[in-house]
Amino acid sequence: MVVSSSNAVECTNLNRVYTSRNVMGRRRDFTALKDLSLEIPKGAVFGLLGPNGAGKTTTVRILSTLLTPTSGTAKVLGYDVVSQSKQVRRNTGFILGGERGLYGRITGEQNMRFFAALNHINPSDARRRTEQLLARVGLTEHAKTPVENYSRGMKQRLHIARGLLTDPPVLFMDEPTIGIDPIGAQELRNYVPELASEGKTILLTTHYMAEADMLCDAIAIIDRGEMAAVGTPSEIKRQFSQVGIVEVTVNRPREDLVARISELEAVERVESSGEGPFQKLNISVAYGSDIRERIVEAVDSENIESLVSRDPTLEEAYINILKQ
Amino acid sequence: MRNFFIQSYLSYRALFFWLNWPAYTGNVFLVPVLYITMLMLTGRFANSPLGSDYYIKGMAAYSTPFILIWGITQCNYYERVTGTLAHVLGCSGNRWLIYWSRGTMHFPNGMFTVITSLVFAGVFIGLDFSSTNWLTLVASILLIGFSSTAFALCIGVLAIVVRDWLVISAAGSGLLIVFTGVVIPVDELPLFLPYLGDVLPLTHGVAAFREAFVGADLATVGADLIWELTVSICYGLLGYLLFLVVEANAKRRGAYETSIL
Repeated sequence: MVVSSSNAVECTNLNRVYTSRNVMGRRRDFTALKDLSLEIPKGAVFGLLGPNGAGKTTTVRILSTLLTPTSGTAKVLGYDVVSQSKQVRRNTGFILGGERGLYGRITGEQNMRFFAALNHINPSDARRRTEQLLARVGLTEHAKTPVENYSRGMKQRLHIARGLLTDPPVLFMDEPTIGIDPIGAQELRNYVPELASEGKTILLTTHYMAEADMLCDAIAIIDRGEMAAVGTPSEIKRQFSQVGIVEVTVNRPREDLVARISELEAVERVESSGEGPFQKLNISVAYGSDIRERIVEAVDSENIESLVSRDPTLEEAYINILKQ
Repeated sequence: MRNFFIQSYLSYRALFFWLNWPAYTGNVFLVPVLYITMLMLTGRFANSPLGSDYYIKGMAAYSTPFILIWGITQCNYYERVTGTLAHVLGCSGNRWLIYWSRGTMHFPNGMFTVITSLVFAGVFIGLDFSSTNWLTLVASILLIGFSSTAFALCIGVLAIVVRDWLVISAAGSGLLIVFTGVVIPVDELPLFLPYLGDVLPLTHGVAAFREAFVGADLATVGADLIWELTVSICYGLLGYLLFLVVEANAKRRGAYETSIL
């Protein structure tokens, strides 16, 4: 039975423990998810962030029905991922990062036709849909090229096209831009708002904070399988950043500049990088304190090339959360 | 059904690594011919009381399971190592069709290789076809093809599990060459081993195949053919069940790319 809900994804107390045994038969458990509860509203772009081994991929795999949870429940569009896995598969597409997962010896078009056949799409619809999707991801010219000759970015675009074959209302994207050059990554990022505007719900896992900040309506940060923070990117930045940032570029600085600034009240950390005669200082100060004037005095105002005070980035908030 | 054939054809193109001229002609045509010649000469020079015809016919029939086992297990193995298994099993596709689609396009290879073997034996080694009942011969070849496909698909699931196709193929084809009457008559095997042949594919198929050369009609070899068909169905069902167990186990252990064991 489908539970009517405004959420596309609901996880309640989700646990996942991987068990392995060594050659002596001794059991070793690794907890990948611990009581993870999560709600993703329909039509939202939701970012799942966390360090390596935090449980992001495990979450995506459970939601894609590729992995069963040890306990707890996960539902996609009201369908339980364990007992109603068929319905979940019909309504979801998953896009995994990396070069694997495609058949290298056949062409991009044939890969699409194969997965269309697997998903019971009738052949004429499959042909039309393949053409449309390959055009959408810019692979029409390479449709008849074996995938083993594709670049990494092209393979990633083919992953996206395949994930959209069944036109699923819910998409899981697991680190889709990993290992892609900046231009390719930017192109891939452009698909996310485009798909969101079609009403699709997107769960995106990524290591790139700027990417999550730019694309996601809401973010969850998980660490060692547990929920560490959840909210909109601005909420998380406000809530978890105990610092403000002042960036100063100084021409021909004094030798003891870093020490002088570090001694100022409210300064928590000073990072310094040099470039020719210029020195760039990244000064973390207690949140809400304005010590720009004192910094100017400490530096010697005539040598200041620029001074900018800004809010912390999502990355800085993320680091703070994980340090806690 | 069209989707089933699209799946069969494209998975074959994608995963059968002998699909290039040197590998294909070598494995489908040359290897069986060499095997026939080798066993025939061995039997002849070892003064086997069975006569060289016994080996020629046995090896001709054996060429079908040989190419099917090595072909299908390698495809299953490559499905795992290319990382596509998770995508295949993550779709809503019918598992029964997915399972059988992996064997469909290999079946013709089994037919090509037995025909090549028989033509070679007839033209170059003098295998006598004068008394052959062609209907029985064709029926036994088709059934051997079917039972070998079912058996290869079944042990092919093990290639997914252990992530190795060479060991599984060698074990499967070795089992058939020793225990099914291809080169050693089944009733001459010691202890309980003749019974082992009864639960393996090929045993009753090859018996009917041999009978076809002496003119036996379908009614005469009917029991053998029905037995071969029964064994095929059993391996078909057993393999499919194993496939479902492997899928469930992979989901439970999170092991589409790592060890399922």
